[in-house]
Amino acid sequence: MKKTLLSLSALSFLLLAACSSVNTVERAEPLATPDPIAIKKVTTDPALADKVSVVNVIQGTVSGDLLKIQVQVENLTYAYQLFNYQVVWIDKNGFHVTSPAPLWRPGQIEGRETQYLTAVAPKPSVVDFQMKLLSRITYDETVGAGRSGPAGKR
Amino acid sequence: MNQLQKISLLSLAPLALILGGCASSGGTRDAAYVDSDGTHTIVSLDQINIQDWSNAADQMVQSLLESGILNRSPEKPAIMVVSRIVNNTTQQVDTDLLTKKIRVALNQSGKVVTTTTYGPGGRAEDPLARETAELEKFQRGDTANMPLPYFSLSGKLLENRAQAGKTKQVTYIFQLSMTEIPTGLAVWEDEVQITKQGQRASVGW
Repeated sequence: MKKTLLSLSALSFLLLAACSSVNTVERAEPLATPDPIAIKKVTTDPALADKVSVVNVIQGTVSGDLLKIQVQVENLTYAYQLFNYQVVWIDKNGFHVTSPAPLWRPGQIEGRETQYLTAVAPKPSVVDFQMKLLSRITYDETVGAGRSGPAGKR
Repeated sequence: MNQLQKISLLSLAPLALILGGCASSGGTRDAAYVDSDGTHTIVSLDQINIQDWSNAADQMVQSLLESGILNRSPEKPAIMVVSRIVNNTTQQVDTDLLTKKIRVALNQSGKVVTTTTYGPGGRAEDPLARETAELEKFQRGDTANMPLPYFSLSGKLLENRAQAGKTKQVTYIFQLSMTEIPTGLAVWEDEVQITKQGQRASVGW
């Protein structure tokens, strides 16, 4: 019994030691007046959505005619999370902009931290976007850990 | 095996197939094509990987487009020349891995065109184009000069290493400046740092 309690205490300590969260301070009444847009979420990985969640998206224009977006993501857990994200741009005719090719970027977020992922459209013809979020743990547990080949599908 | 067991096994088969699809295509290390811009590429601790070049270039382009300085040129699109990119890393790299991606993205944005008939030290990137242009001008008796670049892109690549026990860390630092040639002022500058940490290279990230 004593051993079990000791083991449980040690495990709890290890779990807590692995977690750390961010404290923040900001203006009580922000002066910024963002332009939030309505978003539609498609979740195929609920485990990731429960950890790293999109809070809102705002948009603007830079350099005269280029769409800029800012996606606010929040770590809902108290643990450091790794994820990847990609922004796909869509022109006014509905075509995905493939050149330059959309690329995946690595993201890291501390426990309970809020981050802002920004992206600027590569050309003036872009009117829409799609942001993809991908859990890095799923990948590490399969291909990344060396249990399978690099072309494995997720 | 009774009927109930058979039904249970059959109902589990699709689940096994789905889960198997998440893992891999076979558990071997046979060569396969991977997307250069995807997350299946190799992450090394001793070199700048293909995704590092892409990420650095992408961040630089985003910063440059967002700055709005490309609109300062009286001519649209602005003419840019790629100047010297100094490599102070321990690797021998072709800096075109960075600058070409930036050139392509800026060109496709419609805001910049790059001259290939001027270059550092008077060396044109495309000597044939320059010679042909000069010959044409001579034959036509044209005294007008070729359009001169308004912006010059220069930069430096740096590297920083650290180690704690068996864990290695390497940071590659990409520094770029855009000089407005008529004023000689660096009107845009940015630095991108890419840090990788671990004990060995890995497949995927």
